[in-house]
Amino acid sequence: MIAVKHLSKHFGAVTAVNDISFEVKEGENLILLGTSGCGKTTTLRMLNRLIMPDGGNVAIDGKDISSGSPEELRRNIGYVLQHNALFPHYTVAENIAVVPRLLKWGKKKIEERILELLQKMRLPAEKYMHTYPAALSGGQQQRVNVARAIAAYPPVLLMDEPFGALDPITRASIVNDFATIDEFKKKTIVMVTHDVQEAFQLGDRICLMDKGSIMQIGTPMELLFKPANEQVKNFFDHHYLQLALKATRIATIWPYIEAESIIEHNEVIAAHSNIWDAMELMTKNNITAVAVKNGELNDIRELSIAALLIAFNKYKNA
Amino acid sequence: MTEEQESFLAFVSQQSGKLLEQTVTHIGLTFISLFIAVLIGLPLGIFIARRKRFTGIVLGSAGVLQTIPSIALLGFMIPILGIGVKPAIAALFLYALLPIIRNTYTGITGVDADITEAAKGMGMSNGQILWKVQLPLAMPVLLAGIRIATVINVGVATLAAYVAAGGLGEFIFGGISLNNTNMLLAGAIPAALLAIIFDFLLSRLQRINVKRLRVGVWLAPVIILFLSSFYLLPRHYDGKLLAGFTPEFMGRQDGYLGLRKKYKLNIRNVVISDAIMYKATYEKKLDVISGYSTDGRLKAYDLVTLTDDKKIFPPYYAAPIVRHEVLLAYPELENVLNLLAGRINDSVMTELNYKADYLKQSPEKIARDFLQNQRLWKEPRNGKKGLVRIGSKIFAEQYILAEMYSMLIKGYTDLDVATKTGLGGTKICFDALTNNQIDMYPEYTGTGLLVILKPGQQLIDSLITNKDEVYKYVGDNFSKRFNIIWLKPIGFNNAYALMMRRKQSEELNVTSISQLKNYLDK
Repeated sequence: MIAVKHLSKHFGAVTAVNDISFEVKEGENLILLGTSGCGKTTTLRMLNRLIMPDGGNVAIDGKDISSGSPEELRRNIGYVLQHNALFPHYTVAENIAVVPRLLKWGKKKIEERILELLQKMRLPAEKYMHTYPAALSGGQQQRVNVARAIAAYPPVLLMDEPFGALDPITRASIVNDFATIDEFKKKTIVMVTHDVQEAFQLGDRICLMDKGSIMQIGTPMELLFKPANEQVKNFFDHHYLQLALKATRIATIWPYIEAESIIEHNEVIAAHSNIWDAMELMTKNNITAVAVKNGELNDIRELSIAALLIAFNKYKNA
Repeated sequence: MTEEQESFLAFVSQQSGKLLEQTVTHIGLTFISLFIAVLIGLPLGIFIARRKRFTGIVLGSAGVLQTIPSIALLGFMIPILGIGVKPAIAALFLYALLPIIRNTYTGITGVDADITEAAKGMGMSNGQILWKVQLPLAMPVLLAGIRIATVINVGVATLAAYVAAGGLGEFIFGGISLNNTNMLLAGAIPAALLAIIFDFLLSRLQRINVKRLRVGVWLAPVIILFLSSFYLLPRHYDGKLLAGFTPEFMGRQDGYLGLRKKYKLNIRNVVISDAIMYKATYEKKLDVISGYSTDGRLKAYDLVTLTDDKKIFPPYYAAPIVRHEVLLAYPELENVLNLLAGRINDSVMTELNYKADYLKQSPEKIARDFLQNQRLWKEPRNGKKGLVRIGSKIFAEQYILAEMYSMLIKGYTDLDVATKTGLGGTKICFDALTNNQIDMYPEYTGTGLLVILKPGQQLIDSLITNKDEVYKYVGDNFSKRFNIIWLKPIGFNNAYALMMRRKQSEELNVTSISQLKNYLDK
């Protein structure tokens, strides 16, 4: 879907991005991860020509992005900034309608789309449609921001630390929504973040950058369990266990689980959930065990925190 | 209600028509220049917000223009643009420019970079970013600039009266030169009110919520254009003749007020400084002006005076006034001084003044040439019998007369003469005479009556139309009260007069004020 080849960018003597190449498959979430100044935002902004590269090229759907007009290109790429970049003089509805209007959609079609998006973003239309951004909370503003970016069904979505400015609780809830809304699952998304956990939660693959170069690109588990070098390993050291538990699905450790199968249970969670989420669920609901259903094997087991950790350790040492 | 207030209100109601017209002109002047300033300042502000390297030079130049004193700026404009609306609008435009450019620039550069970035990222073109995002968000700051410019313009527009562009300044400067507080306030209060009202209205416009502001963006030019058109209104109603009067003339009973009352003369007029009105008439910018009947510029610009057939202008016949003691000491003096009596009429005096003011001849040469021409000149006798001190006021006519008297005295008597010319005004000359600093100077009957004797209005009214009565009255009273003698009048009458271009006067067959009125009423 997106093919980046030998992309470079210099700002004066500083090399912001140094000859990087990667691909993003259709429907994939690629996270550009790294500390500030690593070149991740510059890379992102070269994908919609907000910055012109000094070398290399970018192709979307096989077409070089520098061939057409930049406006045309950007109207087909959703773009979400970190800070609240909603137009303060437009209402929520008008903000969402910006790109559809640029694309000259009909009035009715725009209206329907606004209502649909507000519903998906859990912002009751009758209450929020005609309010101005200033009257919204930070989380609500960012939901509108995301809705605005995807209003015209762009196949590609670029996000620059979209949840970075939010407080942890708001952020967790919005990230969860984001992960579960269907519309995002089909999109090809490139997202910049410096938050490792967010990267692990949302990314199909993570591109870890440092000083303008890619250190490693791969799935969260690959980065965690097969670090390309010492630097990559060190990067994740701090949150290692939590990340490992987040990166590992219960289905992955299924063979190592010692608990017996049970017949049925009222509330089950799916085995493609990660270990961390299951443990968090128990802590939050103050229960000692949770029923997990492995759909493929048609098997349900009741697991405690201890049982999960034992199985995880066995899997790791295997 | 005090008497002062009463007469102020009386003045306002009496002048209400003109007051309204000048207020409308004032608004028009303010907004037409504002409109041009917005038309040019706004794009310039947008331009420098995008091309940062031009910011310094543009804001700097506009800033320099702003520091030029307004009256000087108007002065610069006259040689380029003449008199009337053009220099006034040009000067006001230049004053309005800086706040508009600066606030446009500040407003646009003040828009959050993330917001313009988002607009760009969503695929808006530069023009769309400008119109849909930057300008609406910059609007409050931009309007603040227009608001400042408006208030500045309302103030500076009062100065437009100096260049015959009208406006409330006519009342203000008329009030100052006539020492007429009511007139001054009749101009100053509406001007202040206009500033306050426009400031208030624009502040409201600034505060309306952003939604309606987008309507305001389109409404503002319409309103400004509408208000600009005010300036054009008064220009429409009469194409016949345009008069230019000094602020002083406008407010005097023996000036424009008398013309309206006695002649029922109703002529479209502008107020203008007397320094430029003769030339403006010559250049056909004006048709009728109020001038002095012996002014040298009459000849320089080929103007003619209109006969004051209903005699509203008081007579200002010139005659030497002399201390009685001097006449007693040197009895031969009186006949010598009367040699000039009746010899210099208006046109002769105008000619002499023209030689002084335009041909730059010395008063001495003019005096000698005239006396020789009249066969009055005699070689000085260089007598030492006594000394006569001759004074004069500070303008050419008086210098010339003083020289003539000096030559006559030296040629016809054994007396010596000392001239003390250039004594500021009437009061200084007269005080010098009564305090035995000088012995004589040429004075005018009207001045003697109205400035020095100042009898009651009733008496003035009964005397004023008759030149002989006035002469007799001042002669009797000066003699009685100050022991000063009025000798025989020289002949010319340096009074207020209406004047026109000779050619136009002939074409229209207008030689008197009544004929002018008849022509206008046709």
